[in-house]
Amino acid sequence: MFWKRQFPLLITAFVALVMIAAYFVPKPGFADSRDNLQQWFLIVVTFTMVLGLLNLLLVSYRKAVRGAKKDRIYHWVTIISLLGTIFAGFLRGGINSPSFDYIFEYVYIPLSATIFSLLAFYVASAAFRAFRAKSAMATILLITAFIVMLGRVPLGEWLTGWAQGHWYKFLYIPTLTDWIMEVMNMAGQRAVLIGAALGLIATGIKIILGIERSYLGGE
Amino acid sequence: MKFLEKLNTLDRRIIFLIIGVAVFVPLLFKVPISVSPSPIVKTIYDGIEALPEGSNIILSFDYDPSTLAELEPMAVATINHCLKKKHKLVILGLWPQGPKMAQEMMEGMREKYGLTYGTDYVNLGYKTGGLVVISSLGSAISDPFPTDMNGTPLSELPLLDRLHSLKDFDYILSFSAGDPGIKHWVMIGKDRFKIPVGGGVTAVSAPAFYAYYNSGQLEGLMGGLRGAAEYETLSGAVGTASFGMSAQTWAHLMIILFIIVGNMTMIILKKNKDKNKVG
Repeated sequence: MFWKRQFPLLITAFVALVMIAAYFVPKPGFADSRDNLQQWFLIVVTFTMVLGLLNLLLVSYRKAVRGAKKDRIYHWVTIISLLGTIFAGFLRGGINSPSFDYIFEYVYIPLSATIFSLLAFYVASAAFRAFRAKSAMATILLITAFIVMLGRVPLGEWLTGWAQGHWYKFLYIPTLTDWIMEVMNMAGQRAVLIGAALGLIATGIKIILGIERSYLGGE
Repeated sequence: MKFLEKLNTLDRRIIFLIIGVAVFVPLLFKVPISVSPSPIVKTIYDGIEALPEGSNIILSFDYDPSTLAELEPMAVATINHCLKKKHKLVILGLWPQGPKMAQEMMEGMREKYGLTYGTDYVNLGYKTGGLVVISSLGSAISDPFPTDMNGTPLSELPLLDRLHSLKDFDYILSFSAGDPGIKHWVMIGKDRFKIPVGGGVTAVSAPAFYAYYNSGQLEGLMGGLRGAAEYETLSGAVGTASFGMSAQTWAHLMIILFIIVGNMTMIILKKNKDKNKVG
């Protein structure tokens, strides 16, 4: 039980305290310890990538053999693509091998960009269905979205250029957009950031003290 | 009335088709649109412009191909600006695909500016670990990156003879699509080592970084394609972002029209429904 529970907690607390001390105490001994621990972290994290790769292979293989029949093909595609890319990399020159380059440039980049660009179509469809002025709050959201959308493209400048240089210059959409982003948006974002940071500090203290143990699995 | 009902529940395939045409046609005709630069982008330009010739800049490629359309134009625009000013570039990536994309980008730049690898720029490659990688750079570049992307030891790269740790750099630029990214460069690069940090993010994540800009932790920020187009306008070089702005303008216009049509039909149909109820 000690090796499974208490010992990992002691390691965690020790590492955390060394890292905190190294930040506040500018002495070489602390800095050296911090550097060593950072090196260990990078090594451990690199191994987790290998572990993730093996896990993906294993899970995909299981699903390709025993999963739902209609989905099996996709798991085979994952396995073949993964092994094919690794093989292309090992074949000659690592990540600079021509075959790896070819896969990266002509398969991975276009596929990845295509999938992400589909978002524009779904955003348009979702905006049409969801942006309805059904209540006062929804109307405020709608008007704000309208202004920001116009302000993010030159259309806003063209439509309200006449307002520039007059007392009603606040109607100039790019100015209005900047105001929304730098005042309204930032106030909300700052609240979220401060809340999240306080939560992070509280969780960090709980981990150091051994109160939060879920990362060990169970409990 | 039937027409209005149909319009209210417009088939999404029609929406897809209209958006597709609105994006494709402007890209086909390649009409560049220049946009007026905002202060948040101008501060990055001014920051790089103010650095003495031959300053050392870190370029962190923290994105993958899915966000390439937004982040690559800003990377190209800023690199062009840095190279015109003869700054020295050290490239790395906190995302696995980043340095590979940077490598392809630098191939073109090498010919254009007559650059020598190892003297004018270096590509250190990718290292997993995010925040800890940046923190390790603060101790020594060779800690997280004992070799460059091609496996060449750092001792064989002349540029890195005089650059030992993060403290030796004058500016950090991160092109970031998420975590790890620009936020982590601010936390270590700016807050701990006091090096100016600027960069670009996708349009959808830009609102989250205004707080860092306002507090002075972030020198400046390019948000999405618009941010890149603003930088192109500032540097006087028309690039993919300026061409892309016409497609984005049309797409935004179409979405706005969809929203107007959706709301108008909803209001008319609701009024008619209420009338029928009273009748």
